[in-house]
Amino acid sequence: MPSTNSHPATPLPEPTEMEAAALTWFSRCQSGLTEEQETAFQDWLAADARHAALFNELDGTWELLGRAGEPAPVAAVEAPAAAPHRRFHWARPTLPLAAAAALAVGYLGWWRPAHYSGETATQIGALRTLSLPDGSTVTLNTDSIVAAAFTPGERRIRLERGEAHFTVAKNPERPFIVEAGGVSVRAVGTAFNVRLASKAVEVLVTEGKVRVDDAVSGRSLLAAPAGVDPAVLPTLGHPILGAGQKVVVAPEAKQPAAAGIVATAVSSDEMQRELAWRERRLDFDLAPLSEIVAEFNRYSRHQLVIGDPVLAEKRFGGSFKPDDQVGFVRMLQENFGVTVQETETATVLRAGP
Amino acid sequence: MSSQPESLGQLATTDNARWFAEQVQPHESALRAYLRGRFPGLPDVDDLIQETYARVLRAKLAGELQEVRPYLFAIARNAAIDLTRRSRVAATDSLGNIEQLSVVEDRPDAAETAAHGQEIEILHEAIDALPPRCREILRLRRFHGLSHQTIAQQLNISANTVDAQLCLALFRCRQFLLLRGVSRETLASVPAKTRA
Repeated sequence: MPSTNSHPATPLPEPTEMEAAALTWFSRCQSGLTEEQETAFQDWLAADARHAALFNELDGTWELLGRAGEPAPVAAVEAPAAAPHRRFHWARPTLPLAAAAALAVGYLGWWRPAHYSGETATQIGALRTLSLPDGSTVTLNTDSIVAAAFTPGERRIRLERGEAHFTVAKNPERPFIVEAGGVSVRAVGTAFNVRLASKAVEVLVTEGKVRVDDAVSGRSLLAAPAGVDPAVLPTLGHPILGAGQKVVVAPEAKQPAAAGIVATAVSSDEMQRELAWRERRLDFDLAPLSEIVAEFNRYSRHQLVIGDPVLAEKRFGGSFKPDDQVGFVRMLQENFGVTVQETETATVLRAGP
Repeated sequence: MSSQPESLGQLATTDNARWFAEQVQPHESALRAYLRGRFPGLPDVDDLIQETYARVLRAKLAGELQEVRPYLFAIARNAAIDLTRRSRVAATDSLGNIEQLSVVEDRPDAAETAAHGQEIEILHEAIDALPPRCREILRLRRFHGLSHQTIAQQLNISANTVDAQLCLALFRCRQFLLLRGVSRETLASVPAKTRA
């Protein structure tokens, strides 16, 4: 390794052969090693002490990159100075439209990972991923608001509106709790999706396990133990929702006397469709047009309206871009003979002659 | 693992200590690299290395040890698999004890993260200095957690290009840190706790 204290202005060199090999191994390890590769990896490490040193440096750099997160964008709006020191209280986002300001608040919290609070909002049609200081990430769907309050003991997030997918960095001693519409979802290290619909809260677990409780009483909202591995239940003492399971919590379910909600199993195809929004897609498998239109309407101020009950029940499948309402309507017109009437704020769809 | 400091102490006779220093310790950084590469999700590599050493010493005393290196890697691998199983059980257990756990004060990982504030600042500069496409690919992979495949599709490039660009980004970032006086030892010893 050449001297490391040369001028920062010197042009950055290309990797040496050995560095290139270390990079290749690092990249392979990230996608998982076959047994054969694992042996080769061991041999490579053993061949020269510098190999392992390089590998460890790359791993350390990668780890630090994860903690660094994205460089803060140049914020156009001054963030309230009090935000990063606020201790555990919900800072209510002022307006969803103040997304830039909200994001800046989030970044201010960056350097104090033990105590952190911030809010982020997305506008209609937007999609945004925010890295939290503990290494967890939140991906916000259209027209959504989350507020975070982190203390040394717990990581608490409130979904105020919309839909979000959480990938939680494992830390069993600092639970990650998402509150939405009076429902609290607790995890230690896992990934799950929460959608705050107009009446119900939907929770879909993509990885690991979560608890789903009433946010006020702490009482579990889940039925026990159907669908839960009985071997796991006694150690838990609490019903859980596992990977590939989903519950829809209606307001009635929060009544003290209500029976626990039975989780539904979600096939991996269905799960992919439900989470397609993270890749800016809407996927449907023969869904009624009314449902598809409702989804499109989450992403646009200009609304689609179905002026014909028969058409509303017609089923369609496919993958659409949520911000391409126009393309979707044209597809309906051209391939399915749907007629269209434009008003100032809406497009009205009817079955053709 | 609770009995391990004791047994390590008992076993540390002069002969064993020399054998250990000459035969085992030289493999430590390779062992560390192997564990990090093969088990990227493991929370604490240091614990695992201690556990591996304890097992190796026991095997040596029992006369079961022939060649050190292959044995060391095999033991580390088994210990890692054990630990992965155990931590799964622990995570399950702690779900039931959340109320009790949430009163725990200041976590060490917070201090750990704060200790690298300097490096993180340098990295932000390093990221800004990357070529735009390279930066975008790093952003999607490391900060948004998208898979190589998804990134390749989104940007309409091959998965190989994604790999190559990520390698370039990582290399440049390391180079940047070194140029700014961060030592190689500091980088190599960053504990990996949170991963995408």
